[in-house]
Amino acid sequence: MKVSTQKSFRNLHTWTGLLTGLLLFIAFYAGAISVFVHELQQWHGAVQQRSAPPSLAQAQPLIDQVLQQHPQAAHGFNLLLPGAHGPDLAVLWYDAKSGKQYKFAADEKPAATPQLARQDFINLIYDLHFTAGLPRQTGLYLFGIACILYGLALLSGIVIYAPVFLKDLFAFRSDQGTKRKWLDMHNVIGVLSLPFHVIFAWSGAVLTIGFLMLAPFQFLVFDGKLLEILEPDFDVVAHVEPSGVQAKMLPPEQLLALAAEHMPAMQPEMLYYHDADDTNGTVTIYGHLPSATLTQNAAVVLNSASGELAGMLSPDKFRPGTTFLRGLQNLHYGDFAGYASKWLYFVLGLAGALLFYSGNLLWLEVRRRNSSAQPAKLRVMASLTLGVCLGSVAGVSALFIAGSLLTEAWHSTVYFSVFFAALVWAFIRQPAKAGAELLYICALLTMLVPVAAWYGSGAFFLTPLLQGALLRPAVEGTAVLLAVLFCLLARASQRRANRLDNSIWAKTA
Amino acid sequence: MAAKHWAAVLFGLPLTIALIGILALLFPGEAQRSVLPWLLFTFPVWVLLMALMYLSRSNKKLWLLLTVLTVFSYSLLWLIKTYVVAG
Repeated sequence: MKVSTQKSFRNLHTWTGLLTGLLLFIAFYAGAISVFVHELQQWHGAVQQRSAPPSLAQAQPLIDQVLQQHPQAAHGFNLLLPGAHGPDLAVLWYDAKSGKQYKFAADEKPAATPQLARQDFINLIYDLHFTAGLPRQTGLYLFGIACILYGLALLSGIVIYAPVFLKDLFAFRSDQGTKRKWLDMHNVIGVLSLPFHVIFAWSGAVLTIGFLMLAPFQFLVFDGKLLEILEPDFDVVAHVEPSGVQAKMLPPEQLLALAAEHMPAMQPEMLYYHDADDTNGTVTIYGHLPSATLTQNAAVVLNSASGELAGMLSPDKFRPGTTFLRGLQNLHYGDFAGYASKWLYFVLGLAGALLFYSGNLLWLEVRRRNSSAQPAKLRVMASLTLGVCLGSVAGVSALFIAGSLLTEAWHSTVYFSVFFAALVWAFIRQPAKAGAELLYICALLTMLVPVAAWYGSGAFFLTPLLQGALLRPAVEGTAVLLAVLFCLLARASQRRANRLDNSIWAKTA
Repeated sequence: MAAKHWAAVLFGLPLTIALIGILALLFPGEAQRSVLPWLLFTFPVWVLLMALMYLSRSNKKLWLLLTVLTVFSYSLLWLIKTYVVAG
């Protein structure tokens, strides 16, 4: 390959990496944790002392109350069943007028008080994964663009690395200076987890701006007929206009019993009501269906008044496009092979975060001058990398503590306070000092996760092990391991800071 | 380098849409079965086309080629829509 071509791709890799590295770090760290979103929701239920679990009999009165207060919600709302999505029985309603999603939980006193949905620490971490803490739509589209640039960064990375591929892959030259060590690590993570990163860039783009990308095809290629062609892939049943005749909906117990007759193997998780107070209203019952394919979800659609079957969807009946689309989405979520794939995704996610972090460090190492005065852009980039990356790590650990001790209303305040405090700290301190200090803060906050859960629940996290319950030991044990890891990293960067060379990672006297 | 970056930003997506559009329209069989799979290839094709532009050694030739390809592909798309799809 020509030297000039190598140079072009190196330039492309640098730019795409710089533009997306920090966003992708947050996405990968929050994403690795969100792999276990359902387990964490159960963990949250286990560490909070709560009253008796809600019963399904409370669902219809809750729906009636919500519709009485907000008649416009009848157009479309979700009923969340306790189980995989946490211990709550709740109605979720997206108010198009205010652009906010509300949650009405069955055990709230007084009943049916609206709360903003997605304010608890688990959903905040989940949303961080694709918004990085920015407003939802902005963050989502920004991540869509980041996915495209990430794809370019992957391709250009391969081109740069290809000539030395076989020679260098397992080389880990810790004796040839910091830069060599970081580069070897960057390469080995990048190459070994490449298939996983390709899938993430691709499915990430589909999930964030996939729908938006239909627009140019709709107008330039299909002359306005595209959505008609794709309707069977997106909807289980064709949309029916409301008749305008009021009809009383069947209670959820009865609807679930009917759905179980049509699809006995499905475990229902959520019900979506559409025009539920109308004779043409429908209820879509979504659930988990064990299957040998990547997609393990199914749906049954019933008429909400008569209970008549309107349609069913299970992976074996998918069209080729649906199989492809759902397959890509499930490869993104990583829940296709139970705990084996979930733990693999967790480890690869953390490794991915390290890949982007090391990418930024390499950029800094390559550009540092051999004198004590470093250019200002280096200082800014070093502070930004430390502040954003370690700030989000510390913020996520603080969210876990808040989850055990504080009510939902506090959770987002806790995250943003910790994140911005870390960012400010990274800018006012020398990078060499701030790095070690922030890592110690991360270690401390992460170590406090099991302590806070102990305080909140009244039980030490290893105690449930005696009854054979693995959930709390697994979650809080992982926190302890991560705390130890952060502590080791903090000590390493402290040692690095004490080695007085001209690096930006060395303390200046 | 800026010339290549701009070429990738400006020509990448329009060329991808034309290419995927032509394939989706010409692919035999029922549209409801074949269109979505083609559309899902939009993102990898887009990234690949942009990356290919960085192989070029002359910016002038690159821009000329991209302009010709874009005009050609949209003319072809128009012909297919007018004569093949409409019958």
